[in-house]
Amino acid sequence: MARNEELFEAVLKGKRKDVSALVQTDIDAGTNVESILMESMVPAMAEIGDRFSRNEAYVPEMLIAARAMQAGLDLLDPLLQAAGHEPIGKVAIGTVKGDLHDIGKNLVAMMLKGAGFEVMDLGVDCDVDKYKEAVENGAQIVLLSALLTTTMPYMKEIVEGLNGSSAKILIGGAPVTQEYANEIGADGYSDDANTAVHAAKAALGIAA
Amino acid sequence: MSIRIHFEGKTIQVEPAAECSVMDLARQAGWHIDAKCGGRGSCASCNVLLGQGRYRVFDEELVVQTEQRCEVLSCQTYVLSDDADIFLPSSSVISFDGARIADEMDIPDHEHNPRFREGFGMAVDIGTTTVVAALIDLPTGKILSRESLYNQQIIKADDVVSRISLCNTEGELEKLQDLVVEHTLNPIIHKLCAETDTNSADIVQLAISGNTVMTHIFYNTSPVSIGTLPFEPVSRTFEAKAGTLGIDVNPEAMVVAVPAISGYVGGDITSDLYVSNLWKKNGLHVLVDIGTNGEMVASLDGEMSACATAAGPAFEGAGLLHGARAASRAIDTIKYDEHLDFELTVIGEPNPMGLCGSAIIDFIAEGFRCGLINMMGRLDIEMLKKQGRYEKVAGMHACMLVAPELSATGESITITEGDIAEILKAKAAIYGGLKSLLAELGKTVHEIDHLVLAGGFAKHINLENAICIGLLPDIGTDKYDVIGNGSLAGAALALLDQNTAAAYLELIEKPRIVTLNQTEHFTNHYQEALAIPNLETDDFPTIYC
Repeated sequence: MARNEELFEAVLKGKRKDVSALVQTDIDAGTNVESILMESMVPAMAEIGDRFSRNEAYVPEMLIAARAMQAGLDLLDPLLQAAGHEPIGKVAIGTVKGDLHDIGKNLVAMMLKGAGFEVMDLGVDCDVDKYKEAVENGAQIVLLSALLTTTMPYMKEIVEGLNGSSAKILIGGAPVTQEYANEIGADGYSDDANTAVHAAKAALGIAA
Repeated sequence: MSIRIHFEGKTIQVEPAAECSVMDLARQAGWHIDAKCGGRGSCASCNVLLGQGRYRVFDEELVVQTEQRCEVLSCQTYVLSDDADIFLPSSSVISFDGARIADEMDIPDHEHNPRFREGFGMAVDIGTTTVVAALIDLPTGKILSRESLYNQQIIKADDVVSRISLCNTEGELEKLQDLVVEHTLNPIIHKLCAETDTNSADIVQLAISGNTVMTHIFYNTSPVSIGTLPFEPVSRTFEAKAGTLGIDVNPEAMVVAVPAISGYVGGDITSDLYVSNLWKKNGLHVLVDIGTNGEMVASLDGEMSACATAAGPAFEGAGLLHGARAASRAIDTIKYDEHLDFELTVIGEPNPMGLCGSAIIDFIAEGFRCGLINMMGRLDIEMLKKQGRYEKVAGMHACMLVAPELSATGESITITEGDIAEILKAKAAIYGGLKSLLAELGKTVHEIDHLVLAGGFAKHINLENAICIGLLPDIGTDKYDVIGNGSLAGAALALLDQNTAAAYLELIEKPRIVTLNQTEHFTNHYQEALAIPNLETDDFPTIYC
């Protein structure tokens, strides 16, 4: 199946109801669920990410597209699992202990799902043990988010707590910088949700 | 060895010291550099231009040749050479000139029942950005004079959370307390006393009102616990003698704070609630304080719920390419149509250097009406080009608002699509927060009977434009009330009627605190509110008519 242009456009423009209807129509028509995801929806999220990196789209549009993407995924997820769909990688993401801000974290999670990753969303206020558990459950990358300068320092404890595990650690959030990532020994940092996807792919050696 | 700091045609020489950042050196020269992130190197508000010299920037050495200029973060830069020239751009220097201060207050009817029948009292609103004080003649209840200053803590860090972070470092709490008392409140007191020919020793009582973090620091109490979950304050009530806090009034004077509701809903909101009296009325009444940390209280027949929402500092001009505080040389209103002939007003001086929050709300609303800006906040490039207003700045499409020859900086003043996106995120946090708070009560925005806007910013926004962009609900402007500085009025009431204190203690127990991120709908409401005015078009019937 080629790309469903209508679905691609609906995700890109963040038209949630249209996305749900189009995905349902495709499912009902017996279209391969994996191709609905990989050929129409994932390219749409990649496109909005590219536009973002070229300053042709901004966070509000990305969030609105992500919301539409989620509506489609809600329909597809159970079918993808039943079909034995293999994600391109398995990651875990959470807002660190002491912090409960999750809008940025949710956007990164959506962009990762949009790129074909399986994402374990650990929620907010996550302590070291939560991340450890995620690694035990197969997370190849853990992503840490913090919005507050007061909660960011906990990232260091998580990096230390995961010392020796095979999982890569990526960090982000408003107060976080590359310098801070270097300082605490995180494997990577990204400034926005789109580069987070590139960083995750790079961490697993997946071609961009 | 000589380091020369240059600003607006003046040059000041300072003594170099290995441990002083360029930001500190500029302060020694008498200019306060804006450090929005608290000098941690994560924003760009403190940018300066380096001239000839050798420097260390972050961990790297940088040599600047004669005639070269290099832009760096002053908080992360140290001078290594014996000789250096540093140029401060006006956008990085905090100026109090012409700052727009909300010092008008409406004190509601009350009994004149002060605790002290002689002497003077002082009511103080301790804002994160501004401190305002009113001197009151206690026997008569007359307000003698008012004065204000920027809270000098802003030279250390701009927002509440950055100031909490600072307090994790030994000695910083004391420094912040000294900045707000010795360098802000005391100069205000001296001015008030000089103006009114009052002896400061005759000031026998003080009442202060501010957000919970400001109040903690004022009383030399660490606010660190408010910085992380569950965001608990050390105390919601504070009282001390003026002498122990270093305030230049009668050392025995009692200094009482208006009590706080929670870590993020402070005494300033208690004051607003009490002054607006909305908790005593039947129906659905809402109080909104639009700020970096937007506080909201909804009262349904006296049953109250309160929340705070992280709007960020965009409404204060921070994070916008040509954003400015509402002070001298800031554009504060904008009017236009599809011809893009911008009618601007500027605070103070005729030539602007940037635009403040109220102006960018106008810009987005007018742009949405005339088709320059679509509902996703994107500019119509063709329209801009046709009217000669198109610019590409920092890789972003932008609208030129003021030509270089008419601006104070010699560069054009522009609004980029990135700036619009920042405002959309901020307004989504407010509107999405309000909608979610009401949903917790089983109500919608259209069931609001009365909406009170508090805080300095609300005083200066065009309400219709704020509704048009979807910052505030589309319920008809007659349902809105904009109160003056309710925080200052609340502090004044505490002095004028001693029974108020007990009423405040009763009031702070009433609101149920709602944590927005843990409500079912906040993420959805926030995302809907990212569009202009909203993806949920039914919420804005007059905009979509």
